[in-house]
Amino acid sequence: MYYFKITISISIALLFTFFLLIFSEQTFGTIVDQDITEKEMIIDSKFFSNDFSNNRTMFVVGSSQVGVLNVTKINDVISSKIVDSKVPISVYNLALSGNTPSRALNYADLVISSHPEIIFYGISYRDFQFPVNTDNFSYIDLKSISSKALSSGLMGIVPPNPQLLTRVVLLDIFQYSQKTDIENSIENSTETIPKTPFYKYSKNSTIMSEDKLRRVTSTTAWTESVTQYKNIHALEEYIKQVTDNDIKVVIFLTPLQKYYLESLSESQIKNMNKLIDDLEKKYAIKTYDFREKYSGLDIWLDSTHISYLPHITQYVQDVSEMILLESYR
Amino acid sequence: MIFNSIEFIIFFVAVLTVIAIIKHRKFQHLFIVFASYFFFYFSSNYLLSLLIFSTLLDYYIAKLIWKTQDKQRKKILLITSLAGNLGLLGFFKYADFAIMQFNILGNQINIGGNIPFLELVLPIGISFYTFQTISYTVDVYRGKLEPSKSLREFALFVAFFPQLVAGPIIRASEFLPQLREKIENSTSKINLKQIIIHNSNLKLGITIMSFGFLKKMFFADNIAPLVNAIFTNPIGASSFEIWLGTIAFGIQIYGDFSGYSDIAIGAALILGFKIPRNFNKPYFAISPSDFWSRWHISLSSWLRDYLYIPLGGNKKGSGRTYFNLLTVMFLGGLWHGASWNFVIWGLLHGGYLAIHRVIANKFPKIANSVFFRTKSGKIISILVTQYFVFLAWIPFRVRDVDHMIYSMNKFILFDFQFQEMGNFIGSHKFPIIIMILFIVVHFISYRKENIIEKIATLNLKVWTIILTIICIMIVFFYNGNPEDFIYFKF
Repeated sequence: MYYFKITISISIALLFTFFLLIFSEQTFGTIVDQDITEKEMIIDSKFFSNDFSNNRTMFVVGSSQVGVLNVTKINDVISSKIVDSKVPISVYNLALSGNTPSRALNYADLVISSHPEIIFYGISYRDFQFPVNTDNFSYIDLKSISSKALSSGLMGIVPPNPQLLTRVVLLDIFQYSQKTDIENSIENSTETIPKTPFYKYSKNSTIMSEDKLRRVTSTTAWTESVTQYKNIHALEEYIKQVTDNDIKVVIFLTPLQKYYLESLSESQIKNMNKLIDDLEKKYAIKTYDFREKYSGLDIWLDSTHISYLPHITQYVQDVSEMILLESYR
Repeated sequence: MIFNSIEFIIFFVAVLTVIAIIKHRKFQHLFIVFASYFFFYFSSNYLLSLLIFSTLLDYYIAKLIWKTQDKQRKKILLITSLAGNLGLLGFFKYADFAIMQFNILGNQINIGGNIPFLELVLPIGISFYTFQTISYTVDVYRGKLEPSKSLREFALFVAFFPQLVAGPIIRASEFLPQLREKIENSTSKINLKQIIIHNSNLKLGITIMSFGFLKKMFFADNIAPLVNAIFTNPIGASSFEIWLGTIAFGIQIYGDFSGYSDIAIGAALILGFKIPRNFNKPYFAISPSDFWSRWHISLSSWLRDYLYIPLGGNKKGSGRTYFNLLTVMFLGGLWHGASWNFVIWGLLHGGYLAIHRVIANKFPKIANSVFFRTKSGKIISILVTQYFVFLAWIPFRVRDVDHMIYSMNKFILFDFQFQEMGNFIGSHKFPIIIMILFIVVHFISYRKENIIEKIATLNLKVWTIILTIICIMIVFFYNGNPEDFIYFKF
């Protein structure tokens, strides 16, 4: 009987906490659909309300691996190479940190509504998370199965970040409005540049040493296969929507540092190459491959991002030339 | 699976339910073995084979050691066991480290061409279960322990899931008797005890586990962002920031590791097994040797019994004693990870132990002074000891050599730069409040002995309220990203 009472006590403690959490979430509400929030943020920025008709508008789209491209420099390079153009080319960098094709698809309508001439979409392995071995699973990945099951069961009920909820509750109680430590820290250490509305640059860009790059580049052994197909389909849908609206699409594979490239399995590389081949054939689009171009150079912020220190211009130059070439093809 | 995850809660509840319902003892023990293997497989997949290899190797070798009378053969068998276990550990943990050193040396002397890295995944728990099985084989060799008569019993000892992944490193001499039922007039037959979940163990076990979760998820995980903010790139940080970051890391690693140990001890206790405590208020240690009798006790005692004493301990003169201390702590540091920063940490502690011994030997009047037994004397001893303990945490946390040197420099030579202090505190209010709260709670627990045991004896209503408060603190300050336990990486 006492045994039973202890079990009841534990259950009461857990259930009380759980229901208090749900009650707080319902009252103060912090669960947000990240995709909706992102689209709302993009709409709020009013970037797509601008009139792009005066120039030949080019959009560069992708994740932070595209975000490191300084479009001010790209526009300078392009304008220096084009003489006597009645309609200048204007390049905008619409990269978003952590972007994936499925997230990009959410606001594809906004991009299309601006009628750019060409969209240059930068992709990489992280967008698709090809598993190390796609031929067959050599083991059952229980961690992945359970976390998928749990997160889909709890999603929409339990706030993913209870700490944020607590903060909202406390601030509300004390009627206080203050940015989080992290938000302050990000604001103080980042800056924006023109024609890059959604990406913030760190004020302290550095170059990582080779030793550190070797240490921090871990094996990219993704095992989640659902993301792979979801994002491949999203990318295809994105291309289809854009090309149906008479907008040209060019795909480019973003640069990667050599230790990252070495960490990829043959299967992952094969999958990426196959994806590119399929896209080229199916949608008659041009692709550019920058994966290995700068892999051995000493220009890396980390294993997947080129530093944006002013003197590092190789990536910017090559992307500028790609844009020029495609805009006159 | 990590302890601070819903998967573990579901797993643990399922194990307890099955054990409580099915009382057949043979089934219970087999069930726990397979549950432990499942627990291991969940995180490590096919690397479960290494655990099984280590289990089978030492089970059969220990039997052979016990049977044979020939001392030479016993030695060969022991060496085989050591080679097997240390070989596994050395290969998976240190192969790439060794290759890196060869490559660096090769580049220095212009040999040219680098040996490629093997890029092996570090099997979770390998540092712990190999040490556990080594201690078993050595104890059998020394005649201190009879080998296990049943593979089921031995497999349960090695794979017991509460302590499998990050300790405490339990000794077979402590664990196996808990498994066995006393049988009158029979020395050859071993019956394994039925596992019964007693009320008192359940209540105390849950109390210990909940405090473990509190230490890890409320204190350690919420202080981690401050530590990361300071030590990701400490160059340019003031001494105040370095001190704050170091103290924060000291609290983080204590909360993380002792929290894990508490969860392991609590879970084992619920199943009826007593695992010795792994931490005993180490930040109130009054000397380096006192620190090592309070921090990661299962490892320090293992190193003492299986390394320090076989090397001669303190029985072969002072010079040899200091050498033994440095060697043991060097290896203890290396055990934590294949990286020179852990070696530096180990050597620092070895140095502290050696210097402390020198002072005790050369200046006995100081060492035995009555002053150090007074309250003020104790406080000074604690502060001085902890200064050096926290200094050593810097190389433990900061791998980059330049960052490490900079941080240690700023720790030792205080720069009195307080201009940015207000801003810094303002932008890290939350973790600093958590740190202060930890210090207060930790001090209270130091003053009030056995506070957790006392809470477990409270009446059910009060106990439920305390448990609820702990759950609320953990859940409402959880940021959605379960942080790995630091010692999982070892």
